[in-house]
Amino acid sequence: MKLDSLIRTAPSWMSGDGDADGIVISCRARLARNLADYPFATRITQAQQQQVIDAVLAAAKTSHSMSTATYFGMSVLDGNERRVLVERHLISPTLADEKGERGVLFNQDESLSVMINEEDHLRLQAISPGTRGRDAFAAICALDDELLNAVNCAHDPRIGFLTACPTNTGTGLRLSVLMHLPALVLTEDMERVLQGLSQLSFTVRGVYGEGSNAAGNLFQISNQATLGASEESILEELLRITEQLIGYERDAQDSLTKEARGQMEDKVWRAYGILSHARILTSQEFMNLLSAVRLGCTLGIVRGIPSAFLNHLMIATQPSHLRADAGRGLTPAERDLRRADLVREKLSQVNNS
Amino acid sequence: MICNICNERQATIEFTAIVGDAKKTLHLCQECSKQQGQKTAPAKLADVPTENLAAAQTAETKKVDVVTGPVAGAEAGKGLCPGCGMTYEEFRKVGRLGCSQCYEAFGAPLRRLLKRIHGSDLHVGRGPKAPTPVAEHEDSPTGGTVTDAEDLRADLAAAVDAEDYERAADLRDRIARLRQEGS
Repeated sequence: MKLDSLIRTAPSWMSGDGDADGIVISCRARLARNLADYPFATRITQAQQQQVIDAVLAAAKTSHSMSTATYFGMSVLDGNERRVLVERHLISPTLADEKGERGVLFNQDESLSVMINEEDHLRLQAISPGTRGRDAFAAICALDDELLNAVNCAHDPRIGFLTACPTNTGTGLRLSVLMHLPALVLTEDMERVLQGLSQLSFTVRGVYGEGSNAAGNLFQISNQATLGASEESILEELLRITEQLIGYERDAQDSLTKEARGQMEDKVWRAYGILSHARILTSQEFMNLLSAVRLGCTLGIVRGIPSAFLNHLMIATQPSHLRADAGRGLTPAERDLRRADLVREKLSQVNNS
Repeated sequence: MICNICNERQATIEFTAIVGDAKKTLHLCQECSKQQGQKTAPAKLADVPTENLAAAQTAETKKVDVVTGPVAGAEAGKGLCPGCGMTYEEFRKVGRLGCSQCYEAFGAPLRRLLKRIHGSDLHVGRGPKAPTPVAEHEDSPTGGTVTDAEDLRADLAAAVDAEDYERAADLRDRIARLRQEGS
C-alpha cells in the first residue's frame, strides 16, 4: 500500500453504518501495552526500540487479524506523510514528531492499527463505524490476545497492565465515541451535559484529540479511569452514555424544529449553498458549514447525501490530505482555494449520482 | 481563551474540579501552569481539595499536572528503580515511569498516586494470557446479589486501608466475578 493511494480511499469506520442518522460518527478502542524486558520510552535506546519493533512485527505476522497489515516506519515518511496518518487517526501527533525508531502497522480498511514505540511500546487501536463500540472492543481484545501470546507483556496481577504514564495503568483501555451534537450546542445545553459527564469520570474533547477545540460540533467522549473497573463495565457505561446523548440531541433537535423550523432550514440551506459555490474555504468555516449540512441530513431537510460522503469529505479537506493531493507544498491561502475546489467538485458528484 | 492567572497569554491547559454540585474550571497558559506546578496548588483553586482536582482533570492535563504537580509532592518517596535507575523525584519531573520495575520500586507513594488518579489502585479486568470469558447467564450461579457485592466492596476497602493486598486482590477477583455474572 502506498500513501498516495491511501488519501483517495475512505477508512471503513467512516461508512456511516449504525450512526443514528449521523449523530454518532464512530467508536474507538485503544489499549496501552509494554514489553516487560525493555525500558519504557524515556529510557529506551534506539537499538532496543528496533528490537521491540522486530518482536511486534514478528508477532503480528503470525496473527490472524494483522498478518497482511502494512508497516510504516516513521523514518521512511516525510513530515506531510506523517500528518496524513495523523489526520486519518492512524497515529498520534506524538508518534509523528518524536525521535527514535518507531512506526505504525495498520490493516487494509484501517479498522485496526498498532503504534510501536509511542509513549508505550504498543498502542493498539480499533475503530468501528457509528454506535458499534462492541465491534471495536471485540476486535481490540482479539488483537490483544494474539499479540500478547507472542511477547512477554509488562503486567502485575494487582495493578494490571503497566504503562509509562500512571494515567493508563490497569486496563490500559481508552474507549471513546465521536459524536455530532449540533442541536445541544445551539440550545446551549452542552455545558450542562459536559458537567454531567465529568461527574461520571468521562472526558470530552474535540475531534483531533488532545487540545483540539470541538470544531464542527464534533465531540469525542472517553473514559478517564483505567484502574478499578473492568473493560466490559467501561464499555457498557460508554454505550449507555452514548444512547443517552443521542436522546438528548434528538430532543434538542425536536424542540428546535418545533420552535424555529424556518430558521433551521435556512441555516442548513445557506450552509449547503456556500459549500456548493464558495471559492475559498478555511478549515474552520468548512467544519461549521459541514456540521450544518450534516444536521440537515439528520433532520431530513437535505436528502441524498450519505453520512459516508460527509465523513470522507471531512478527512479529504484536512491540510495534509490537500497537500498530498496537490503533490506539492501549499500556502494557507492556496489550501483554502483547493479546499473549496474539492468540496464543490465532490458535492456536484453526489448531486448527479 | 486567555490565561486566568496572567490574563495575557493564550490558555492551553484546563483544570476542572467538581466541588459539591458545582464545576470549577481554570484556564492556564503553559508558563503559568508550570509556575503553579512548582508552588502548591493553583492559587485560584486553592480551596479545592487536591484529590478532587486530580480526579476531575481531563486525561491530557493529567499527564502534565497530576504527576508533576503538587499532588505527589508531599509524599515523594526516595525510591530508586533497580531496573532503570529512575528516582521518584525524576519521575515527578518527567511524569513518565522509566520501566515496568518502577511500579515496584516506587511502592506506596505511587500506589497512592494511582488511587488519586483512578479512584482505585486495584486492577479489575483482563490479564495478559487469560482472555476474560464472556459471561453466560445460564451457567451463572444464583448468588451475586447486590448486597453481596456491596459487602465485598466494603471488605475490599478495608483490606486496602490495611494494605493487605493479597486479601484485597482476592476480594477484587470475587467482585469481578459477581459483576460478570450480573451483567
